[in-house]
Amino acid sequence: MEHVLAFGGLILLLMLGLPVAFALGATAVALLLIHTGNLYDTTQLAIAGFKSIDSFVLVALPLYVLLGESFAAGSISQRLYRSASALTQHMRGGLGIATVSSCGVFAAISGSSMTNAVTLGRITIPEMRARGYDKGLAAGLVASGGTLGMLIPPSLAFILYSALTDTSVRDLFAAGLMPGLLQLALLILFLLVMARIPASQPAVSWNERLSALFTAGWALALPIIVLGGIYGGVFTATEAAAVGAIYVIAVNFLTDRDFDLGALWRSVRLTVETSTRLLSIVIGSSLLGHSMIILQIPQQITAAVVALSLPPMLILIGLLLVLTLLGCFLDPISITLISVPIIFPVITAFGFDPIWFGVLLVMILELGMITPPVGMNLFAIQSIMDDLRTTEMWRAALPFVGVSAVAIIVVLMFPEVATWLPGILR
Amino acid sequence: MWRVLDRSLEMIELFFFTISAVAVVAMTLSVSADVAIRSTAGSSPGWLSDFPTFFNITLAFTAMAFVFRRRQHIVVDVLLLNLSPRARRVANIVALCIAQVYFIALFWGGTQVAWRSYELGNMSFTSVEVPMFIPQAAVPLGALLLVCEGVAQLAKALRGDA
Repeated sequence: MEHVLAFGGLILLLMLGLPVAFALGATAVALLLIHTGNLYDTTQLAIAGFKSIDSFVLVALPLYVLLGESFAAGSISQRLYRSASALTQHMRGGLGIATVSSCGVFAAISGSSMTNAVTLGRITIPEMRARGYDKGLAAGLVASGGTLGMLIPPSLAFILYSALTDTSVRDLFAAGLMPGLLQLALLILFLLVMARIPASQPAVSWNERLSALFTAGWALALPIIVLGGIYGGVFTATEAAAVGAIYVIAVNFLTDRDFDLGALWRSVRLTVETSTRLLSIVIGSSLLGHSMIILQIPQQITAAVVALSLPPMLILIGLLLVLTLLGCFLDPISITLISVPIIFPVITAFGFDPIWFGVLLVMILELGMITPPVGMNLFAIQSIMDDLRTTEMWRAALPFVGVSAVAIIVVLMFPEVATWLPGILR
Repeated sequence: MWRVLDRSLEMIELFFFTISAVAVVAMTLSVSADVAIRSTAGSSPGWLSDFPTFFNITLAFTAMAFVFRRRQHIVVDVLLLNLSPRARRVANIVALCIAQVYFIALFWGGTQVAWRSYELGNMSFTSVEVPMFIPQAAVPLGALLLVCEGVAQLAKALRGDA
Protein backbone atom coordinates (compact mmCIF):
# COMPACT_ATOMS: atom_id res chain seq x y z
CA MET A 1 0.00 0.00 0.00
CA GLU A 2 2.77 2.41 0.98
CA HIS A 3 4.67 1.61 -2.26
CA VAL A 4 1.61 2.50 -4.29
CA LEU A 5 1.18 5.72 -2.34
CA ALA A 6 4.85 6.63 -2.66
CA PHE A 7 5.18 6.10 -6.40
CA GLY A 8 1.58 6.71 -7.47
CA GLY A 9 1.31 9.86 -5.37
CA LEU A 10 4.59 11.21 -6.68
CA ILE A 11 3.65 10.58 -10.31
CA LEU A 12 0.23 12.18 -9.77
CA LEU A 13 1.74 15.28 -8.19
CA LEU A 14 4.30 15.59 -10.99
CA MET A 15 1.55 15.28 -13.60
CA LEU A 16 -0.45 18.00 -11.83
CA GLY A 17 2.44 20.33 -12.59
CA LEU A 18 3.74 20.67 -9.06
CA PRO A 19 7.46 21.53 -9.15
CA VAL A 20 9.53 18.35 -8.78
CA ALA A 21 11.10 19.60 -5.53
CA PHE A 22 7.72 20.18 -3.90
CA ALA A 23 6.17 16.98 -5.30
CA LEU A 24 8.96 14.99 -3.62
CA GLY A 25 8.51 16.86 -0.32
CA ALA A 26 4.71 16.61 -0.35
CA THR A 27 4.87 12.86 -1.03
CA ALA A 28 7.31 12.50 1.88
CA VAL A 29 4.99 14.40 4.24
CA ALA A 30 1.94 12.39 3.11
CA LEU A 31 3.77 9.06 3.55
CA LEU A 32 4.97 9.95 7.02
CA LEU A 33 1.65 11.35 8.21
CA ILE A 34 -0.28 8.33 6.94
CA HIS A 35 2.26 5.94 8.47
CA THR A 36 2.58 7.54 11.90
CA GLY A 37 -0.47 9.84 12.04
CA ASN A 38 1.60 12.25 14.11
CA LEU A 39 2.40 15.80 13.01
CA TYR A 40 5.35 15.87 15.41
CA ASP A 41 7.18 13.42 13.10
CA THR A 42 7.53 16.20 10.53
CA THR A 43 10.35 17.54 12.73
CA GLN A 44 12.33 14.52 11.50
CA LEU A 45 11.69 15.69 7.95
CA ALA A 46 12.92 19.20 8.79
CA ILE A 47 16.08 17.69 10.27
CA ALA A 48 16.54 15.48 7.18
CA GLY A 49 16.08 18.52 4.90
CA PHE A 50 18.61 20.55 6.89
CA LYS A 51 21.15 17.71 6.99
CA SER A 52 20.86 17.12 3.26
CA ILE A 53 22.36 20.56 2.60
CA ASP A 54 24.67 20.61 5.63
CA SER A 55 27.52 19.06 3.61
CA PHE A 56 30.76 20.54 2.31
CA VAL A 57 30.51 18.38 -0.84
CA LEU A 58 27.27 20.17 -1.82
CA VAL A 59 28.96 23.57 -1.46
CA ALA A 60 30.60 22.57 -4.76
CA LEU A 61 27.24 22.78 -6.53
CA PRO A 62 26.68 26.57 -6.48
CA LEU A 63 30.40 27.13 -6.95
CA TYR A 64 30.54 25.09 -10.18
CA VAL A 65 27.33 26.78 -11.34
CA LEU A 66 28.99 30.18 -10.71
CA LEU A 67 32.06 29.02 -12.62
CA GLY A 68 29.92 28.01 -15.61
CA GLU A 69 27.75 31.13 -15.53
CA SER A 70 30.78 33.45 -15.31
CA PHE A 71 32.41 31.57 -18.17
CA ALA A 72 29.26 31.89 -20.26
CA ALA A 73 28.94 35.61 -19.45
CA GLY A 74 32.39 36.48 -20.81
CA SER A 75 33.89 36.05 -24.24
CA ILE A 76 36.29 33.24 -23.33
CA SER A 77 33.99 30.65 -24.90
CA GLN A 78 34.03 32.56 -28.21
CA ARG A 79 37.81 32.63 -28.19
CA LEU A 80 37.88 28.93 -27.39
CA TYR A 81 35.72 28.15 -30.42
CA ARG A 82 37.68 30.46 -32.74
CA SER A 83 40.85 28.69 -31.68
CA ALA A 84 39.43 25.20 -32.25
CA SER A 85 38.04 26.36 -35.58
CA ALA A 86 41.39 27.79 -36.74
CA LEU A 87 43.13 24.53 -35.87
CA THR A 88 40.66 22.20 -37.61
CA GLN A 89 38.87 24.10 -40.41
CA HIS A 90 41.11 22.68 -43.16
CA MET A 91 40.17 19.11 -42.15
CA ARG A 92 37.12 17.21 -43.39
CA GLY A 93 34.27 18.16 -41.03
CA GLY A 94 36.70 20.57 -39.37
CA LEU A 95 34.11 23.01 -38.10
CA GLY A 96 32.00 20.17 -36.65
CA ILE A 97 35.11 18.77 -34.98
CA ALA A 98 35.87 22.23 -33.59
CA THR A 99 32.31 22.39 -32.25
CA VAL A 100 32.36 19.06 -30.43
CA SER A 101 35.93 19.65 -29.20
CA SER A 102 34.88 23.04 -27.79
CA CYS A 103 31.93 21.26 -26.16
CA GLY A 104 34.41 18.84 -24.59
CA VAL A 105 36.64 21.60 -23.23
CA PHE A 106 33.70 23.73 -22.13
CA ALA A 107 32.24 20.62 -20.46
CA ALA A 108 35.36 20.48 -18.33
CA ILE A 109 34.50 23.98 -17.18
CA SER A 110 30.74 24.34 -16.92
CA GLY A 111 29.68 20.99 -15.45
CA SER A 112 26.19 21.43 -16.89
CA SER A 113 24.79 20.10 -20.17
CA MET A 114 22.28 22.84 -20.85
CA THR A 115 24.70 25.69 -20.08
CA ASN A 116 27.16 23.95 -22.38
CA ALA A 117 24.65 23.51 -25.22
CA VAL A 118 23.15 27.01 -25.04
CA THR A 119 26.43 28.91 -24.57
CA LEU A 120 28.25 27.17 -27.38
CA GLY A 121 25.14 26.79 -29.53
CA ARG A 122 24.76 30.58 -29.77
CA ILE A 123 28.30 30.84 -31.14
CA THR A 124 28.73 27.65 -33.16
CA ILE A 125 25.37 27.04 -34.85
CA PRO A 126 25.26 30.32 -36.84
CA GLU A 127 28.91 29.75 -37.85
CA MET A 128 28.27 26.17 -39.01
CA ARG A 129 25.15 27.16 -40.93
CA ALA A 130 27.00 30.02 -42.60
CA ARG A 131 29.56 27.49 -43.82
CA GLY A 132 26.95 25.14 -45.32
CA TYR A 133 26.18 22.72 -42.50
CA ASP A 134 22.63 21.40 -42.43
CA LYS A 135 20.70 23.10 -39.61
CA GLY A 136 19.61 19.73 -38.18
CA LEU A 137 23.19 18.44 -38.11
CA ALA A 138 24.41 21.66 -36.47
CA ALA A 139 21.66 21.50 -33.85
CA GLY A 140 22.17 17.78 -33.18
CA LEU A 141 25.94 18.19 -32.85
CA VAL A 142 25.67 20.92 -30.24
CA ALA A 143 22.82 19.22 -28.35
CA SER A 144 24.82 16.01 -28.21
CA GLY A 145 28.19 17.69 -27.56
CA GLY A 146 26.52 19.62 -24.76
CA THR A 147 25.76 16.42 -22.87
CA LEU A 148 29.48 15.91 -22.37
CA GLY A 149 29.11 18.53 -19.62
CA MET A 150 27.56 15.89 -17.39
CA LEU A 151 30.27 13.31 -17.97
CA ILE A 152 33.57 15.13 -18.38
CA PRO A 153 34.64 16.38 -14.95
CA PRO A 154 33.72 18.51 -13.11
CA SER A 155 30.08 17.41 -13.32
CA LEU A 156 27.12 18.54 -11.23
CA ALA A 157 25.49 15.13 -11.65
CA PHE A 158 28.54 13.42 -10.10
CA ILE A 159 28.50 15.88 -7.18
CA LEU A 160 24.84 15.04 -6.46
CA TYR A 161 25.43 11.29 -6.90
CA SER A 162 28.36 11.51 -4.50
CA ALA A 163 26.29 13.41 -1.92
CA LEU A 164 23.53 10.78 -2.13
CA THR A 165 25.71 7.68 -2.03
CA ASP A 166 28.79 8.71 -0.03
CA THR A 167 31.06 7.78 -2.94
CA SER A 168 34.17 9.84 -3.64
CA VAL A 169 33.63 12.86 -5.94
CA ARG A 170 37.31 12.64 -6.86
CA ASP A 171 36.89 9.02 -8.04
CA LEU A 172 33.67 9.84 -9.88
CA PHE A 173 35.30 12.77 -11.70
CA ALA A 174 38.21 10.53 -12.73
CA ALA A 175 35.84 7.74 -13.78
CA GLY A 176 33.85 10.08 -16.04
CA LEU A 177 36.85 11.32 -18.02
CA MET A 178 37.58 8.28 -20.24
CA PRO A 179 33.91 7.57 -21.12
CA GLY A 180 33.57 11.31 -21.87
CA LEU A 181 36.55 11.23 -24.22
CA LEU A 182 35.21 8.00 -25.76
CA GLN A 183 31.91 9.72 -26.49
CA LEU A 184 33.74 12.73 -27.92
CA ALA A 185 35.72 10.41 -30.22
CA LEU A 186 32.55 8.59 -31.31
CA LEU A 187 30.89 11.92 -32.14
CA ILE A 188 33.84 12.94 -34.31
CA LEU A 189 33.85 9.49 -35.95
CA PHE A 190 30.14 9.79 -36.72
CA LEU A 191 30.71 13.24 -38.18
CA LEU A 192 33.49 12.02 -40.44
CA VAL A 193 31.94 8.74 -41.55
CA MET A 194 28.18 9.13 -41.52
CA ALA A 195 27.20 12.78 -41.70
CA ARG A 196 26.80 14.85 -44.87
CA ILE A 197 29.22 17.68 -44.33
CA PRO A 198 30.27 20.55 -46.62
CA ALA A 199 33.73 20.83 -48.15
CA SER A 200 36.53 21.83 -45.82
CA GLN A 201 37.80 25.40 -45.63
CA PRO A 202 41.26 26.53 -46.72
CA ALA A 203 43.88 26.12 -44.02
CA VAL A 204 44.89 29.19 -42.06
CA SER A 205 48.57 29.99 -41.59
CA TRP A 206 50.49 28.56 -38.65
CA ASN A 207 50.93 32.09 -37.31
CA GLU A 208 47.16 32.53 -37.19
CA ARG A 209 46.70 29.10 -35.60
CA LEU A 210 49.26 29.87 -32.89
CA SER A 211 47.70 33.27 -32.31
CA ALA A 212 44.22 31.69 -31.97
CA LEU A 213 45.62 29.09 -29.60
CA PHE A 214 47.25 31.80 -27.53
CA THR A 215 44.00 33.78 -27.18
CA ALA A 216 42.22 30.61 -26.02
CA GLY A 217 45.01 29.89 -23.55
CA TRP A 218 43.05 31.37 -20.66
CA ALA A 219 40.20 28.92 -21.29
CA LEU A 220 42.47 25.94 -21.91
CA ALA A 221 44.33 26.61 -18.65
CA LEU A 222 41.15 26.29 -16.59
CA PRO A 223 40.63 22.50 -16.80
CA ILE A 224 44.34 22.11 -16.04
CA ILE A 225 43.99 24.29 -12.93
CA VAL A 226 40.76 22.64 -11.75
CA LEU A 227 41.57 18.99 -12.49
CA GLY A 228 45.32 19.38 -11.90
CA GLY A 229 44.58 20.93 -8.51
CA ILE A 230 42.21 18.11 -7.53
CA TYR A 231 44.42 15.21 -8.63
CA GLY A 232 47.66 16.94 -7.66
CA GLY A 233 46.35 16.99 -4.10
CA VAL A 234 46.41 20.81 -3.92
CA PHE A 235 42.71 21.16 -3.21
CA THR A 236 39.43 19.27 -2.97
CA ALA A 237 36.75 19.19 -5.68
CA THR A 238 34.76 21.84 -3.78
CA GLU A 239 37.78 24.12 -3.38
CA ALA A 240 38.65 23.63 -7.07
CA ALA A 241 35.24 25.08 -7.97
CA ALA A 242 35.86 28.25 -5.94
CA VAL A 243 39.39 28.68 -7.33
CA GLY A 244 38.07 28.09 -10.85
CA ALA A 245 35.25 30.61 -10.40
CA ILE A 246 37.66 33.28 -9.10
CA TYR A 247 40.01 32.54 -12.01
CA VAL A 248 37.26 32.88 -14.63
CA ILE A 249 35.93 36.10 -13.08
CA ALA A 250 39.46 37.56 -12.95
CA VAL A 251 40.16 36.55 -16.57
CA ASN A 252 36.83 38.07 -17.66
CA PHE A 253 37.69 41.37 -15.98
CA LEU A 254 41.21 41.38 -17.43
CA THR A 255 40.43 40.34 -21.00
CA ASP A 256 36.83 41.29 -21.71
CA ARG A 257 35.82 44.95 -21.85
CA ASP A 258 32.13 44.10 -21.76
CA PHE A 259 32.40 42.15 -18.52
CA ASP A 260 31.72 44.62 -15.71
CA LEU A 261 30.29 44.44 -12.19
CA GLY A 262 26.76 44.35 -13.65
CA ALA A 263 27.65 41.24 -15.70
CA LEU A 264 29.19 39.64 -12.63
CA TRP A 265 26.06 40.34 -10.56
CA ARG A 266 23.91 38.82 -13.32
CA SER A 267 26.07 35.69 -13.21
CA VAL A 268 25.65 35.52 -9.43
CA ARG A 269 21.86 35.91 -9.72
CA LEU A 270 21.69 33.16 -12.36
CA THR A 271 23.82 31.03 -10.06
CA VAL A 272 21.33 31.52 -7.23
CA GLU A 273 18.40 30.61 -9.51
CA THR A 274 20.03 27.44 -10.86
CA SER A 275 21.47 26.36 -7.50
CA THR A 276 18.17 26.91 -5.69
CA ARG A 277 16.37 24.86 -8.33
CA LEU A 278 18.79 21.98 -7.81
CA LEU A 279 19.17 22.26 -4.03
CA SER A 280 15.40 22.37 -3.49
CA ILE A 281 15.19 19.02 -5.33
CA VAL A 282 18.01 17.70 -3.15
CA ILE A 283 15.96 18.69 -0.08
CA GLY A 284 12.73 17.15 -1.43
CA SER A 285 14.55 13.97 -2.45
CA SER A 286 16.20 13.60 0.97
CA LEU A 287 12.80 14.01 2.66
CA LEU A 288 11.27 11.33 0.46
CA GLY A 289 14.33 9.13 1.00
CA HIS A 290 13.96 9.62 4.77
CA SER A 291 10.26 8.72 4.72
CA MET A 292 10.92 5.67 2.58
CA ILE A 293 13.67 4.49 4.94
CA ILE A 294 11.27 4.80 7.90
CA LEU A 295 8.78 2.70 5.94
CA GLN A 296 11.62 0.35 4.83
CA ILE A 297 10.62 0.73 1.17
CA PRO A 298 14.18 0.55 -0.33
CA GLN A 299 14.90 -2.59 1.73
CA GLN A 300 11.66 -4.20 0.52
CA ILE A 301 12.41 -3.30 -3.10
CA THR A 302 15.96 -4.69 -2.78
CA ALA A 303 14.63 -7.91 -1.22
CA ALA A 304 12.01 -8.27 -3.96
CA VAL A 305 14.58 -7.73 -6.74
CA VAL A 306 17.04 -10.19 -5.14
CA ALA A 307 14.22 -12.74 -4.79
CA LEU A 308 13.70 -12.67 -8.56
CA SER A 309 16.88 -14.81 -8.82
CA LEU A 310 17.78 -13.25 -12.17
CA PRO A 311 21.37 -12.78 -13.34
CA PRO A 312 22.69 -9.52 -11.81
CA MET A 313 23.67 -8.14 -15.23
CA LEU A 314 20.12 -8.63 -16.47
CA ILE A 315 18.80 -6.70 -13.47
CA LEU A 316 21.32 -3.93 -14.10
CA ILE A 317 20.30 -3.70 -17.75
CA GLY A 318 16.64 -3.67 -16.69
CA LEU A 319 17.30 -0.78 -14.27
CA LEU A 320 19.21 1.13 -16.95
CA LEU A 321 16.32 0.66 -19.38
CA VAL A 322 13.85 2.00 -16.81
CA LEU A 323 16.15 5.00 -16.23
CA THR A 324 16.39 5.55 -19.99
CA LEU A 325 12.61 5.56 -20.21
CA LEU A 326 12.38 8.03 -17.32
CA GLY A 327 14.99 10.16 -19.09
CA CYS A 328 12.54 10.73 -21.94
CA PHE A 329 10.09 12.48 -19.59
CA LEU A 330 12.01 13.84 -16.59
CA ASP A 331 15.06 16.03 -16.33
CA PRO A 332 18.31 14.24 -15.39
CA ILE A 333 18.89 15.87 -12.00
CA SER A 334 15.37 14.94 -10.86
CA ILE A 335 15.90 11.36 -12.03
CA THR A 336 19.18 11.13 -10.14
CA LEU A 337 17.66 12.48 -6.95
CA ILE A 338 14.47 10.40 -7.17
CA SER A 339 15.95 7.11 -8.31
CA VAL A 340 19.35 6.83 -6.62
CA PRO A 341 18.03 6.43 -3.04
CA ILE A 342 15.78 3.62 -4.31
CA ILE A 343 18.07 1.72 -6.68
CA PHE A 344 21.45 2.26 -5.02
CA PRO A 345 20.78 -0.42 -2.34
CA VAL A 346 19.92 -2.86 -5.17
CA ILE A 347 23.17 -2.02 -6.96
CA THR A 348 25.30 -2.52 -3.85
CA ALA A 349 23.37 -5.69 -2.90
CA PHE A 350 24.44 -7.23 -6.22
CA GLY A 351 28.05 -6.16 -5.68
CA PHE A 352 28.31 -3.72 -8.61
CA ASP A 353 30.99 -1.05 -8.39
CA PRO A 354 29.18 2.14 -7.27
CA ILE A 355 31.62 4.34 -9.20
CA TRP A 356 31.04 2.39 -12.42
CA PHE A 357 27.28 2.52 -11.86
CA GLY A 358 27.53 6.29 -11.25
CA VAL A 359 29.16 6.70 -14.66
CA LEU A 360 26.56 4.48 -16.35
CA LEU A 361 23.78 6.44 -14.65
CA VAL A 362 25.16 9.75 -15.87
CA MET A 363 25.59 8.36 -19.41
CA ILE A 364 21.96 7.20 -19.36
CA LEU A 365 20.89 10.65 -18.15
CA GLU A 366 22.94 12.19 -20.96
CA LEU A 367 21.05 10.01 -23.39
CA GLY A 368 17.79 11.30 -21.89
CA MET A 369 18.96 14.88 -22.51
CA ILE A 370 18.85 14.31 -26.27
CA THR A 371 16.04 11.75 -26.45
CA PRO A 372 12.67 13.01 -27.71
CA PRO A 373 10.09 14.03 -26.63
CA VAL A 374 11.47 15.93 -23.61
CA GLY A 375 15.24 15.88 -24.06
CA MET A 376 16.23 19.04 -22.23
CA ASN A 377 19.10 19.85 -24.58
CA LEU A 378 16.73 19.64 -27.54
CA PHE A 379 14.55 22.33 -25.94
CA ALA A 380 17.65 24.35 -25.12
CA ILE A 381 18.84 24.29 -28.73
CA GLN A 382 15.36 25.01 -30.06
CA SER A 383 15.18 28.06 -27.78
CA ILE A 384 18.13 29.57 -29.67
CA MET A 385 17.06 28.48 -33.20
CA ASP A 386 13.88 30.21 -34.34
CA ASP A 387 13.53 28.29 -37.62
CA LEU A 388 13.91 24.76 -36.21
CA ARG A 389 10.64 22.87 -35.79
CA THR A 390 10.23 20.34 -32.99
CA THR A 391 9.95 17.40 -35.38
CA GLU A 392 13.11 18.55 -37.20
CA MET A 393 14.95 18.72 -33.90
CA TRP A 394 13.76 15.21 -32.95
CA ARG A 395 14.87 13.80 -36.31
CA ALA A 396 18.24 15.54 -36.01
CA ALA A 397 18.79 14.10 -32.53
CA LEU A 398 18.20 10.44 -33.44
CA PRO A 399 21.67 9.63 -34.91
CA PHE A 400 23.26 11.18 -31.84
CA VAL A 401 21.06 9.07 -29.58
CA GLY A 402 22.61 6.09 -31.41
CA VAL A 403 26.15 7.41 -30.78
CA SER A 404 25.43 7.82 -27.05
CA ALA A 405 23.89 4.33 -26.91
CA VAL A 406 27.06 2.83 -28.43
CA ALA A 407 29.20 4.60 -25.80
CA ILE A 408 26.94 3.26 -23.02
CA ILE A 409 27.18 -0.30 -24.35
CA VAL A 410 30.99 -0.05 -24.47
CA VAL A 411 31.17 1.14 -20.82
CA LEU A 412 28.63 -1.52 -19.79
CA MET A 413 30.63 -4.31 -21.46
CA PHE A 414 34.04 -2.98 -20.44
CA PRO A 415 33.77 -1.42 -16.95
CA GLU A 416 37.52 -0.73 -17.03
CA VAL A 417 36.84 2.22 -19.36
CA ALA A 418 35.40 3.94 -16.28
CA THR A 419 37.23 2.26 -13.40
CA TRP A 420 40.77 2.26 -14.80
CA LEU A 421 41.63 5.94 -14.22
CA PRO A 422 40.32 6.26 -10.62
CA GLY A 423 42.31 3.11 -9.79
CA ILE A 424 45.50 4.73 -11.06
CA LEU A 425 44.90 8.10 -9.42
CA ARG A 426 43.97 6.66 -6.00
CA MET B 1 -4.88 46.41 -1.36
CA TRP B 2 -4.22 42.96 -2.83
CA ARG B 3 -1.64 44.36 -5.26
CA VAL B 4 0.17 46.19 -2.46
CA LEU B 5 0.35 42.99 -0.41
CA ASP B 6 1.60 40.99 -3.39
CA ARG B 7 4.18 43.64 -4.26
CA SER B 8 5.36 43.75 -0.62
CA LEU B 9 5.73 39.97 -0.60
CA GLU B 10 7.74 40.14 -3.82
CA MET B 11 10.06 42.75 -2.27
CA ILE B 12 10.58 40.55 0.81
CA GLU B 13 11.31 37.52 -1.36
CA LEU B 14 13.68 39.59 -3.51
CA PHE B 15 15.45 40.74 -0.35
CA PHE B 16 16.11 37.13 0.69
CA PHE B 17 17.07 36.22 -2.87
CA THR B 18 19.66 39.01 -2.71
CA ILE B 19 20.88 37.65 0.64
CA SER B 20 21.34 34.30 -1.12
CA ALA B 21 23.33 35.99 -3.87
CA VAL B 22 25.55 37.58 -1.22
CA ALA B 23 25.89 34.12 0.36
CA VAL B 24 27.18 32.76 -2.99
CA VAL B 25 29.80 35.53 -3.15
CA ALA B 26 30.77 34.95 0.49
CA MET B 27 31.00 31.19 -0.10
CA THR B 28 33.29 31.67 -3.13
CA LEU B 29 35.56 34.14 -1.34
CA SER B 30 35.68 32.07 1.82
CA VAL B 31 36.65 28.80 0.11
CA SER B 32 39.20 30.58 -2.13
CA ALA B 33 40.73 32.38 0.85
CA ASP B 34 40.97 29.05 2.67
CA VAL B 35 42.96 27.57 -0.24
CA ALA B 36 45.15 30.67 -0.63
CA ILE B 37 46.01 30.94 3.08
CA ARG B 38 46.63 27.20 3.39
CA SER B 39 48.94 27.25 0.36
CA THR B 40 50.98 30.18 1.63
CA ALA B 41 50.91 29.79 5.41
CA GLY B 42 50.55 26.01 5.69
CA SER B 43 47.24 26.15 7.57
CA SER B 44 44.13 28.32 7.53
CA PRO B 45 41.49 29.35 10.08
CA GLY B 46 38.94 26.54 10.35
CA TRP B 47 35.94 28.84 10.04
CA LEU B 48 36.87 29.58 6.43
CA SER B 49 35.89 26.03 5.51
CA ASP B 50 33.01 25.77 8.04
CA PHE B 51 31.02 28.87 7.09
CA PRO B 52 30.47 28.02 3.38
CA THR B 53 28.18 25.16 4.47
CA PHE B 54 26.07 27.64 6.46
CA PHE B 55 26.00 30.00 3.46
CA ASN B 56 24.84 27.10 1.27
CA ILE B 57 21.99 26.33 3.70
CA THR B 58 20.95 30.00 3.59
CA LEU B 59 21.05 29.94 -0.22
CA ALA B 60 19.04 26.73 -0.53
CA PHE B 61 16.16 27.68 1.75
CA THR B 62 15.75 31.46 1.53
CA ALA B 63 15.80 31.87 -2.26
CA MET B 64 13.25 29.12 -2.91
CA ALA B 65 10.17 31.36 -2.66
CA PHE B 66 11.46 33.97 -5.14
CA VAL B 67 12.41 31.20 -7.59
CA PHE B 68 8.89 29.75 -7.09
CA ARG B 69 7.34 33.17 -7.86
CA ARG B 70 9.38 33.39 -11.04
CA ARG B 71 8.25 29.84 -11.95
CA GLN B 72 11.87 28.78 -12.28
CA HIS B 73 11.48 25.46 -10.46
CA ILE B 74 11.67 22.33 -12.59
CA VAL B 75 8.18 21.15 -13.61
CA VAL B 76 7.02 18.16 -15.66
CA ASP B 77 4.53 19.79 -18.03
CA VAL B 78 3.95 16.94 -20.50
CA LEU B 79 0.36 16.41 -19.35
CA LEU B 80 -0.42 20.05 -18.56
CA LEU B 81 0.36 21.20 -22.08
CA ASN B 82 -2.34 18.89 -23.41
CA LEU B 83 -5.06 20.10 -21.03
CA SER B 84 -7.66 22.76 -21.72
CA PRO B 85 -7.04 26.14 -20.01
CA ARG B 86 -9.83 25.39 -17.52
CA ALA B 87 -8.47 21.94 -16.62
CA ARG B 88 -4.97 23.42 -16.35
CA ARG B 89 -6.27 26.04 -13.91
CA VAL B 90 -7.92 23.35 -11.79
CA ALA B 91 -4.72 21.27 -11.81
CA ASN B 92 -2.76 24.36 -10.76
CA ILE B 93 -5.12 25.05 -7.84
CA VAL B 94 -5.00 21.41 -6.66
CA ALA B 95 -1.19 21.37 -6.98
CA LEU B 96 -0.87 24.61 -4.99
CA CYS B 97 -3.12 23.25 -2.21
CA ILE B 98 -1.01 20.08 -1.94
CA ALA B 99 2.20 22.13 -1.99
CA GLN B 100 0.85 24.13 0.95
CA VAL B 101 0.72 20.93 3.04
CA TYR B 102 4.44 20.44 2.38
CA PHE B 103 5.31 24.07 3.10
CA ILE B 104 3.33 24.11 6.36
CA ALA B 105 4.84 20.80 7.51
CA LEU B 106 8.33 22.08 6.72
CA PHE B 107 7.62 25.35 8.53
CA TRP B 108 6.18 23.61 11.59
CA GLY B 109 8.91 20.94 11.74
CA GLY B 110 11.67 23.49 11.06
CA THR B 111 10.39 25.82 13.79
CA GLN B 112 10.32 22.92 16.28
CA VAL B 113 13.90 21.95 15.44
CA ALA B 114 15.32 25.48 15.60
CA TRP B 115 13.39 26.33 18.78
CA ARG B 116 14.56 23.11 20.47
CA SER B 117 18.18 23.90 19.52
CA TYR B 118 17.76 27.40 20.98
CA GLU B 119 16.31 26.04 24.25
CA LEU B 120 19.03 23.40 24.62
CA GLY B 121 21.79 25.82 23.61
CA ASN B 122 23.07 23.44 20.90
CA MET B 123 26.30 24.60 19.26
CA SER B 124 27.84 23.57 15.93
CA PHE B 125 30.80 21.15 15.83
CA THR B 126 32.93 23.70 14.02
CA SER B 127 36.14 25.54 14.90
CA VAL B 128 34.14 28.68 15.74
CA GLU B 129 31.11 27.46 17.67
CA VAL B 130 27.87 28.84 16.25
CA PRO B 131 24.48 28.43 17.97
CA MET B 132 22.78 25.80 15.79
CA PHE B 133 19.43 27.58 15.82
CA ILE B 134 20.89 30.29 13.56
CA PRO B 135 21.57 28.09 10.48
CA GLN B 136 18.55 25.92 11.35
CA ALA B 137 16.31 29.00 11.30
CA ALA B 138 16.79 29.08 7.52
CA VAL B 139 14.40 26.09 7.24
CA PRO B 140 11.31 27.69 8.86
CA LEU B 141 12.16 31.06 7.31
CA GLY B 142 12.33 29.60 3.81
CA ALA B 143 9.19 27.52 4.47
CA LEU B 144 7.31 30.58 5.76
CA LEU B 145 8.18 32.49 2.60
CA LEU B 146 6.95 29.50 0.58
CA VAL B 147 3.67 29.41 2.56
CA CYS B 148 3.12 33.12 1.80
CA GLU B 149 4.07 32.71 -1.86
CA GLY B 150 1.82 29.63 -2.11
CA VAL B 151 -1.12 31.59 -0.70
CA ALA B 152 -0.42 34.47 -3.11
CA GLN B 153 -0.31 32.11 -6.10
CA LEU B 154 -3.44 30.33 -4.92
CA ALA B 155 -5.28 33.64 -4.61
CA LYS B 156 -4.14 34.63 -8.11
CA ALA B 157 -5.24 31.26 -9.50
CA LEU B 158 -8.67 31.52 -7.85
CA ARG B 159 -9.11 35.07 -9.15
CA GLY B 160 -8.08 33.87 -12.60
CA ASP B 161 -4.96 36.09 -12.69
CA ALA B 162 -2.42 33.26 -13.03
